[in-house]
Amino acid sequence: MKKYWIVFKKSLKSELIYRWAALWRILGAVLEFLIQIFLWRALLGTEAHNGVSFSDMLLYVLINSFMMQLTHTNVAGMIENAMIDGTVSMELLRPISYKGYLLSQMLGKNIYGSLTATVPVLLLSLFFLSGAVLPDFVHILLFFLSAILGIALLFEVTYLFGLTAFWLQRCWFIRFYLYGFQNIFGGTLVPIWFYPELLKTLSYWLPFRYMTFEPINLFLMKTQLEQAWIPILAAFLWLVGLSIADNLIWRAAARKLTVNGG
Amino acid sequence: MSFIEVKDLCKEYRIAKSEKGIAGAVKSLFHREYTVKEAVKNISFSLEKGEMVGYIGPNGAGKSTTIKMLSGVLLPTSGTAKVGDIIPYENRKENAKRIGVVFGQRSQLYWDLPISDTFDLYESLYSVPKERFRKNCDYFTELLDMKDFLHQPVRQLSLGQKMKANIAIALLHDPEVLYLDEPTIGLDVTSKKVLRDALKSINEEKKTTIILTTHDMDDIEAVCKRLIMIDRGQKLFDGTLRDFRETYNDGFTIKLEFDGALPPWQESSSYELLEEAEHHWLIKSGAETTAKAAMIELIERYNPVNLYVQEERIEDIVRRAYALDREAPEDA
Repeated sequence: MKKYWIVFKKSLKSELIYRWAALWRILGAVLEFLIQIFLWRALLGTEAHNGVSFSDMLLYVLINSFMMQLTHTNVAGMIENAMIDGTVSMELLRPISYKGYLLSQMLGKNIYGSLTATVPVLLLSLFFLSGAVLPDFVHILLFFLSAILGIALLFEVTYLFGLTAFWLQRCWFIRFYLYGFQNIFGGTLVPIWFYPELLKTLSYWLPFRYMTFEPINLFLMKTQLEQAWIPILAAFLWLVGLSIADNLIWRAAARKLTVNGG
Repeated sequence: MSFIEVKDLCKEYRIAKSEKGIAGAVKSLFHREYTVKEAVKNISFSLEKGEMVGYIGPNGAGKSTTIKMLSGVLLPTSGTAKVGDIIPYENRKENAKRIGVVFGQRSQLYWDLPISDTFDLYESLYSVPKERFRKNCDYFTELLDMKDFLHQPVRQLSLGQKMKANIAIALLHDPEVLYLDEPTIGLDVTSKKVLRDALKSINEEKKTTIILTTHDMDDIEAVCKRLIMIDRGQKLFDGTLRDFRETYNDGFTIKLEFDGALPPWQESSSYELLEEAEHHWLIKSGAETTAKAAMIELIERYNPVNLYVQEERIEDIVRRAYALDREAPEDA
């Protein structure tokens, strides 16, 4: 465990070197937030539609963007780069699991970005937040549990598809597919609350809604306590299933590996 | 049972043929032909603990591929390799704990952070006890003369400094085996010397088994007693440096210097005139005569002012050995 912690720390420390990049990221995040907020304000006005109020949307955008930021530098890209220039051979020389290494590396790389991008936005959103109801303690706990599962799920799916780089060498296009699926079935652009029945049903059978949408539902107390176990169990089962799958694929990938450049 | 045991090791790669021009590239999108390249063909050797071996061969001979299989990164197509009691490619993580690897053209260092940060990482990765870590840090910092740049970001270091750091981190956990893949590539004369001396001391003091691949024969002469030579994936020679000289020995060169004009050259079967300059000859003598006999004969015949005998350099022997192999048909 200590190994992964230090990989996380060093990856975070590397990120801290570039101060200007952080500043620009803050600016970008603030702009994006404002665009979304004004859009929803225009769409929803001051009343609630489908039981969704403006302040719900605000929290929705906030939590969603934080969780997306946390997996922003995605593992598929990291694997792809390591394949292209052959550094994958150096990473495999270390006595550490490749998956665990990637996860710690990714979180270390992203946590700084997520915090720098979210804190200013959070302060900004205090101006808009009025009449928002904060969740009770149990809901907060459930939210954290479900958010951790969601991030693990996000990582797992990207990792699984990233491993195809061992065969294809390139996998940048996978990012676009994932992004698309997340948008449609995960409700990261338009929340699933506003979806037609068919899409809504479909989304239950895919892993994407459990990544950010279900945690947000818990935070906003839109999921009742009695029903909270359903999305949490679903996320957990997806996680187990995908782990088994990536384990098998990893074994085949290690067999397939060719190292580029000497 | 030797410490490192490599038996009939083979590695094949499938290479897609790429055809000329845009049309060829488009065509290859639909139909692609593959050729199988055997990077390593039936290589066997064994190494005892504490040995220091030079693993040489021309570019593309299969040196790095062998090292990658020994370090558990690549899976052999057939054959086996065993390091200690571990099969590296089946037990990558276990194997990684007891080996150190340096690839001359790659760096394991954090690009944006000082070397000391990478040191910390390796301390945790290999769970090196604090006391021993401290001691090793000091030892390698001293040995490789790294004190001055330990706290500078890696991106601002020179190639030689980075190489030293890479060697140090490969050794921080006291590995039993050290694989060095062209560690002196691109280094200046002084850095090369520091490195060679360091390798010798590490081998002596820590009894580390070292496999060194290089194109610089001076590395081999300075550091290794034993030599394994491969080309086109196959082993050509395995033995001591002395045996290597004897096997491929082709005599020596003699330089004769004259004060005035050169005397007339007398054709003879035992000497070959390599070079003729204003005041000297460079003569090649076959392996069948001794240097002493050749010297006496040449002095009597030509009466030079000065005479120098030069043993053939390892580099020249190696070049000839490669050429000999290339003349032979591929699957001889």
